[in-house]
Amino acid sequence: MGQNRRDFLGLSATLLASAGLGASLKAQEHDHGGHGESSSPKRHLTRVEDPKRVLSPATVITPQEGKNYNPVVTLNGWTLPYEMKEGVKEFHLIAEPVVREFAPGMVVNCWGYNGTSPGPTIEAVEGDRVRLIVTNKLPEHTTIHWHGLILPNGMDGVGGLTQPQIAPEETFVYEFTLVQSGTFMYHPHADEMVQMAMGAMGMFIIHPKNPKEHRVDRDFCFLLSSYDIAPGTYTPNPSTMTEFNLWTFNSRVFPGIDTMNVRVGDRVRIRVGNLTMTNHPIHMHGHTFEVSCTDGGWVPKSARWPEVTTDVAVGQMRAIEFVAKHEGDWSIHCHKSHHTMGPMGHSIPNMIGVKQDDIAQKISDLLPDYMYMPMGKSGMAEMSDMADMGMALPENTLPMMSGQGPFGPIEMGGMFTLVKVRKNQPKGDYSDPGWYTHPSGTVAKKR
Amino acid sequence: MKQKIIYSFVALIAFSGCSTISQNEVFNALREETSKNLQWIKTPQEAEIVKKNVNDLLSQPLNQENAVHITLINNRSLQQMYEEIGLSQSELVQAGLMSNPLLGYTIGRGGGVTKSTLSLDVALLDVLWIPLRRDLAGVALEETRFRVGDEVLRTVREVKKAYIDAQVAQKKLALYEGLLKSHEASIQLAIRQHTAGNLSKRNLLKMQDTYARARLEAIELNRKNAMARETLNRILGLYGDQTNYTLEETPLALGIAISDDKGLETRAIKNRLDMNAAIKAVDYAARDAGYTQKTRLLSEIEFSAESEKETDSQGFNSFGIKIPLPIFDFGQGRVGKAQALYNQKVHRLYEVAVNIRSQVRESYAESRYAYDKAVETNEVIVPVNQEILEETKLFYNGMLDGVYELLEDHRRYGEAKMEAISAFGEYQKAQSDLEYVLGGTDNGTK
Repeated sequence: MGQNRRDFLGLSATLLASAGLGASLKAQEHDHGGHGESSSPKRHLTRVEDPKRVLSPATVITPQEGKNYNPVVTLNGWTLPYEMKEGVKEFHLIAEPVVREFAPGMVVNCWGYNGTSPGPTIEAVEGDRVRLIVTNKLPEHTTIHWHGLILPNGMDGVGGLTQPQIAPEETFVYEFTLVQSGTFMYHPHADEMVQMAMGAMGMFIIHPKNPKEHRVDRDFCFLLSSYDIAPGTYTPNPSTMTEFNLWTFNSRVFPGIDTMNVRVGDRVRIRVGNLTMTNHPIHMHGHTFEVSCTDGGWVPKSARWPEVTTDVAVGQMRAIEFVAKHEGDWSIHCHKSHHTMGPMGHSIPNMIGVKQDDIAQKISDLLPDYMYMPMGKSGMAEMSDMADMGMALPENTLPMMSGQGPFGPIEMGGMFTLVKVRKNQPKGDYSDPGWYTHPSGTVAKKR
Repeated sequence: MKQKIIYSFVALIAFSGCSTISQNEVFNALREETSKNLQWIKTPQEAEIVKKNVNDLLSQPLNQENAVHITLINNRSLQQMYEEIGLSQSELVQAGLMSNPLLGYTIGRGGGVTKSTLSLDVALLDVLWIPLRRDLAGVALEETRFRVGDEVLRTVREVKKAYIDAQVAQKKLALYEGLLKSHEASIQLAIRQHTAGNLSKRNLLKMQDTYARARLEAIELNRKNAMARETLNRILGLYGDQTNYTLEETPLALGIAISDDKGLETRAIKNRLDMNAAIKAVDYAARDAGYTQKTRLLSEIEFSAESEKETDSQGFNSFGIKIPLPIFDFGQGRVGKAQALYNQKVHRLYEVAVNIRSQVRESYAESRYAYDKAVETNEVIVPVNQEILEETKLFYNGMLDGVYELLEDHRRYGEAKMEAISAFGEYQKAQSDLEYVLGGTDNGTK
């Protein structure tokens, strides 16, 4: 007979294997760094127990030899330390797969530098000779392009055009003199679309030679980046061109983004670089500001004009400056409303104005173990309530709107954070002062 | 002389009238080989009792065991088969009887003389063939018993399968009610969305199409249920109010699958009643050929005794014998026919054995793969679809999916459960086939 007992057991083994599928899936959850080649070290994913450890205060590197510049604060980031080697500032960058927490409740398999995405901010001074030693620990070749810098053509970092690509495990050295000051970026220029979609990028700040020039009291910087991470997954889809669902400041989303905490009277600079594939009108509440620096350098004072929104186009950098005069918790965000939202299904049926109560009862009867709530009849604000009620979501997925303020749900997500202006914020202290206490009679109230 | 004739006649009757096996004995043997529940309706009274038993069994939700029981006593096709035993047994009785002697009486009158002749013709040699004929009829009866037994087991298989079909059809229909409700919720929402100005007519029509197809499916399931139920009714032999019975609400279960085919063919060859019938058929043909050979020349020998009496004269007794002269018919035709019949039966036996062995392999494979499919469906497909639904609930919570996806995945899960019911049914039917193919189970119907 063709079918013997061994065949029978063989089939049973398949059954056992599929029954064990659940367990093996769970085991993989702890190994999200392992999407690269075996040569790249696997990072084991751990939930961040205390988010403050990875949030503020941001790492600030103060110059070692003489206070010749005023350091920047990178939101949820840090500045890359350097070594002086015979008069050359030497920086080490390692391109590698990393795990980034976007906000409590969501971690992402990114590509970045030195353990984070975005990579650490490089800070130097106009006139410095810098040596950037780049080691590739990514599973594919890469390069680094120094976005906006004036430098010898051979240092421009365009794979195939100005240099061979840096193969995995290879180290390349870039060395040049900084001849300008301003706000710049660095990012790969080899399989650029994939590597930037995975989060490989960073800021490059060049301070003026004279620290008194363009001096501000608090200097913040962050990059805009966008991702398509399907709900229930951990890895950005690098082939997405337009339908991104996560819009980030420094690969963080509200309410996971550092607030910018300043003292009344401080002159504040906020530098923004855009490495997404669309423009972002950055809007700030409570103050007018001026754009003091673009990709090309400092804007002459006579050419600046006051505004409350500045559009940062693709590949551009903008620095805005203002004097913090008005106390309070002021929003700063991209004004495209879907960029201040968490992930949401774009094809969900439009239920505005559709009566559902009786059908909801019918659906509840069909799903006895599920608390079914009809949604969208009078808008989507109920979503925020649902999130607050702790309604479960797919794994590793943030709610569409979240954030709890002193007066209720903030109903935001994505590219949204706050500038907190306080009279008593100590000098040099970047820590969060908490919610603003409004003087009596200054809060809108129910009539 | 008359006395002598009468004596010999009585002797013949005594000789031929040996006791024969009764119908009841044969039927009891049949019960041993098939099921103790077998009942043979021979009188209107018995028919009444059976009807009452059937109604009793139908008064509670019907399970498979009782369906088999009802079939064995109430299926009129089986009752016809039971009468085959009656027919064969009558043949056996007939075989034990000698051909009747011919009593002749002639009377003539002429010239004042009256002449009467009393004669008795006996095919005396026939007496010698009676044991042979009885032997043959006995073998034929046994063959009949096996044949009837095989038909009983076949019918048991059929009723079991019909019961499973009816159960599966009913369960699927019940499950589909939930799915149809889910479809209803979808179309109702779509209509309201359209009315509110949120859904185009085209998309509404597409959803209407989906809903209409779901209703078609419901009609189809109703049809299948009615057909399955009617097939079962027919095998159970029910009509009128009797058909209003309900099926027992037991979940379909997977027994323990036979995981080894060792010895199954041998077991089937030994136990299958049609195999036994085929063996008996060969036996019969062999004996029949022997009988024909023996009786080819002398089957028609007749002895006669005559007593003549004339008026006023002494009676005259005479004895005679008539022997057919094998000049034209040596019996070669009959012998050749018997031989051909015998050969036929041998080939038939060979065919039956080969087919049974093939059926065993086929049925074993069928039941084993059906088991694997049922387990795979029930233990993987159903829970996976349940998990999909659970995940979709999470996506719905996050407004990542709409209510239509939620309802769709609810239906997916329902469909998976329907598939599992079908798979269980297929396995149980395969198991009923295997039972029959092996010649009955070790316990239960055998």
